[in-house]
Amino acid sequence: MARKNRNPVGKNVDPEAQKKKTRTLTLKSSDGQEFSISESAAVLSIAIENMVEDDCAGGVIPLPLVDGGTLARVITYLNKHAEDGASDEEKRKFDEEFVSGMEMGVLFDVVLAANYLDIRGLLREVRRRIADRMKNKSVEWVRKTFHIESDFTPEEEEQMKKEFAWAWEGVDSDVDD
Amino acid sequence: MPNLPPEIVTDILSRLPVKALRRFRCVSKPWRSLIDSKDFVKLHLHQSTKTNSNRCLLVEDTLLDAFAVDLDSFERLDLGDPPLHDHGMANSCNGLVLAVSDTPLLWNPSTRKFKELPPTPLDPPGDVKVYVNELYGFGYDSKSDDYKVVRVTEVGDGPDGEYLYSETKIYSLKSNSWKRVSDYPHILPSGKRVWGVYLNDALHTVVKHCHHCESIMAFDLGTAEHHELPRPDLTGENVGVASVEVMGGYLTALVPRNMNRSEIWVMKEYGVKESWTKLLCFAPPMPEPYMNLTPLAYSNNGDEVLLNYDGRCLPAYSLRKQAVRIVDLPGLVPPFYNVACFATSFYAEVYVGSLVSLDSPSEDDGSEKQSVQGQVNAKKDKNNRDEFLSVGFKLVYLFMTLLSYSQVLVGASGDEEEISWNVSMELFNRCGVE
Repeated sequence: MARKNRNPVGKNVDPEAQKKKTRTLTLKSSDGQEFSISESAAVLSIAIENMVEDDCAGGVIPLPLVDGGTLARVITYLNKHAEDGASDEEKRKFDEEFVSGMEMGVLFDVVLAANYLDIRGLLREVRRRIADRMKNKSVEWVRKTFHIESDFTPEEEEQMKKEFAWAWEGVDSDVDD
Repeated sequence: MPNLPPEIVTDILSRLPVKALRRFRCVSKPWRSLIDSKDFVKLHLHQSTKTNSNRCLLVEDTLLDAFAVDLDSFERLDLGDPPLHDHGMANSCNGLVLAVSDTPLLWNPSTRKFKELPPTPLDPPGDVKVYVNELYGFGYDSKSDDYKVVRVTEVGDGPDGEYLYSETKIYSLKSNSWKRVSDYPHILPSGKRVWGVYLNDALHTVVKHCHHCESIMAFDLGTAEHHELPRPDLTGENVGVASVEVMGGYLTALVPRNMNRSEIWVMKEYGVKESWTKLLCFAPPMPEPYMNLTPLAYSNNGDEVLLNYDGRCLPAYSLRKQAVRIVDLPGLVPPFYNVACFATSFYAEVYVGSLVSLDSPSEDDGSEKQSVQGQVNAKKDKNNRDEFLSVGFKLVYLFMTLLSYSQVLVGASGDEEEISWNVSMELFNRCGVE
């Protein structure tokens, strides 16, 4: 029902929005790779939008905290979400598939990039996916993945485990990811 | 693997189910402090409510055993040994469930902790001749950040127990004590388990003044005052609100139209009369003089409404298709129909998986000990019985439901005929699978 009035033909097209679609920006990753992206897709990142608005973009936008591989992924996401006529359902499906194949390390890279670039939707999606992957994991797996060293004594750990033994039932065996 | 900043880690943890968080307390001392902190408990609850996740359906079946399923997957959850031995489930709030008996208790099924409330006699006990009726309600008072149980006891006098007054007492979890407040100025509703349903710091109930003349009342848990809420604007004669419930953060009203249909209305904006909207119209398989229909939850995409139909079955009503399918819960013992078609019923309540603690700050660690003790003492004596009974009765029951739904839905408009076929096929397939 809501889709009927999606793109009113001819009328009411914002000339500024049209300009953004045709204008391209160049994003430069930490390892020096350059990516072209339409302005309308790039500004889905609040951080990039601010840079563009403040006019400090000057053609090439350096992103020293994002490597090329991660930036390529982020750009795929941005392009899909800026696509004309992509329905919410299509975007939802895309998001689902976009994160489903990523390994944990990649998810961590993408969540950091989404945080730095302030891309709310992507940030939410990846955080949700990380939580989903974590929920049946062991304590040891979590420590390894999040680089945490236990500061409990073995006795303290044993005591906690004993008190809530049910929380240890049905935990995944520690295969990678 | 890179290190994540603490705010991202906190956000990720707030999306985990309680079981995982119980385990991950063990990761390190900082993680334990974070997960145990009041702010995190609130964040986790907020996240679950906002994203409609961690919702569970707690069912007290026809054999008075309790079990729970995850509302997204309908997979059965392990509750350990529920402490509901001689208790009846009442309502839930923020993941805590009130269970009622001579000694009511609050229970968090996700953390498996429970706490028996201290006993409170009628006040003054000597004066009372006859006890008439008693109902409870339970909710959260955000102003004092406290959980409160309300008990309304109708007290009578004389040989036939003539009604005198309704004593009202409020239990505060923070102080772990009861306090008497002004008497409830109305007669208690009949045939109800819960006095008031919780929403927005208040308990809601329908007060009947006369036939088809009623008010929706809200009892403020902070001020202990009653105020009236607007009713939906209903057209037609002899039509009124039979009961109110809370679903997905909205107040809903059951409006029986006649023996063949009942409507569920929803108040989209709290306290605004004009926001009352008809949500759905439900036709029972057979005409009913009084239909007990309780909306439980919206599906995640918002299209389906899960209903409890008189404690007999769980219809899922599709708002888009305006059609019903019956949700088959693993482990639910179907009602026992005797010759007179009388059926014992099950009770169902939705709760959110939360870390909310039952400790009262005013006491030492007593409640924790008590809960652990309770888990150890409880006995396992039911699962085999469940399995055995359910298989035999399920087939008969499904077949009965199949027949009755076809009867109702066939014979109206062409659209509905198609729906009835879908419903039937679905039930039929399910019979075949089992």
